[in-house]
Amino acid sequence: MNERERQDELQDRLVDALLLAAAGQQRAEVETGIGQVLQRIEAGLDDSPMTVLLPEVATAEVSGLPPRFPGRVSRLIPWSIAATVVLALTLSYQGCSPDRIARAAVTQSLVAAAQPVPRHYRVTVNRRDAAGRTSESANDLYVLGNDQAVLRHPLAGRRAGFDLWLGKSADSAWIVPPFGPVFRGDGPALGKWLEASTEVDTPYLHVTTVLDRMKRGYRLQELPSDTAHHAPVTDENPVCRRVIGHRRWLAQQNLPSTIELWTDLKTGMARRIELRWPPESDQRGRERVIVEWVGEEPLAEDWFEAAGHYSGSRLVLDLSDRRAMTRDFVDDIPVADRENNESESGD
Amino acid sequence: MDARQVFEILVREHADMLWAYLRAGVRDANAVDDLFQETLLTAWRRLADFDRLRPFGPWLRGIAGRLVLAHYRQQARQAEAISPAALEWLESRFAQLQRLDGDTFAEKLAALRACVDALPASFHAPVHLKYFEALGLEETGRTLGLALETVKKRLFRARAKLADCLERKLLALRSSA
Repeated sequence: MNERERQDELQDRLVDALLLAAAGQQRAEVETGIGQVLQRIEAGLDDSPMTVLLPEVATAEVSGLPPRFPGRVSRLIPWSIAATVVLALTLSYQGCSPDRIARAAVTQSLVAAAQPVPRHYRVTVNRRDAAGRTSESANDLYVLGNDQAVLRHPLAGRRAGFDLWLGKSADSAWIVPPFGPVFRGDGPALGKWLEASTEVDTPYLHVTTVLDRMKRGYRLQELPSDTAHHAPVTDENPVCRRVIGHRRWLAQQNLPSTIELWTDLKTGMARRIELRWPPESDQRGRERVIVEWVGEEPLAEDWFEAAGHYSGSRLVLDLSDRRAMTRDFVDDIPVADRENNESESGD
Repeated sequence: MDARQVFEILVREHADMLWAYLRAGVRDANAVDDLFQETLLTAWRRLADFDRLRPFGPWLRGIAGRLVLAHYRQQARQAEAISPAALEWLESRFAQLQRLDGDTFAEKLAALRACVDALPASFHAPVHLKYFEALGLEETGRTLGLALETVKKRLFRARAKLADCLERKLLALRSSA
């Protein structure tokens, strides 16, 4: 192979690699690679240098920005987010733009959300029906690390007072209705079941999923720092970093039009996430979903398994079973009764 | 935030670019995965050497480039080896790509997607199916009613056209800079 042919081949490989990256075909390999490397680092198989990469970032309460940062930038950005500024400046040599700071904040929050700590969130869903009436439901979301989540959804109508439990891990998903069989399957099957359900109006969320979508599909903008509950600052209600994301026009249209995030200044943990749909949207009448951090609490060992949410023996059905997909809950209520039930409940 | 978290953020920001760089520099796809991880681990071990006033991406690619050369030395496959000059050429292209608009590497590749959109239909179709629909070569051929060899040739010629198109866009960027 002569020099010209080598150059042509290299150019061909470059374009091939760029096309694969443009199409996102490398994502799985990249994520796997990053995951494995981080696991090795966490396990201490690769000792880090004693010197911290960015000493300013290691402690959030920095005394000031390094002197080389442009004065304009340091005037614009509150000291409370100086750590993120340092980070954002490191991320790019194109200069420091507010959207990069916002992006770094969301990434930091994503990292915090992926930590294997059991966290409890309250999920409040505001809906609007065809007549313009609004309703609200309060759910509980429990998450553990990157891929385990359990949602408690209180039922309405004749099943008021009972809960539906939904759970999902990396490779499986389950639904535990108050009565009848338990469903098992995978994530996509759970998603389809939820789409078919007329009784569950809560979007199935994992904090990491929301943050990941926010990072990838939204134009991010930093907002002035505030507490998550718009209330005076206390230990329980600290000042948070705020970022709002506006859905990019290429993103799926059924996603929220905006996602607003409040993150803990020190840890990056998401304290509040607010998702809004535009008024003209008919996404099951959802207008707003608020995810609020409640606390970090010890949970039963089997909390993230279906068995942790029912007693006695129950029939377990495959979620991908077509018959199961056509039923809301398998408590053998005829469809006609169910429709009556829905009209009684005012949903 | 500790060093590991900062490192993860930096890595996630540059991972797609790093993967594309390695994929362009190394023929063997399995070796790309190994070199990708080795680059990140080396970067972690040598974090103290990183000059934080300089951009992270080129530093990461510098490590990757040295590992690529070492990879070929170990493999004793000199016929396939990439030269330091070729790696330098690749680095120059990635440095220019990094200056394009966009937060993520995928966004920076909007210029390339524009070139794809401008391809004549006979070239656009196989590129779209192979890369953006992730079809194999044979499936692409079946879908388009083309022989396997024809698909390969069209893809090769399409990539040559895309290289020209991208080069023109990068040249315009250099001129404006």
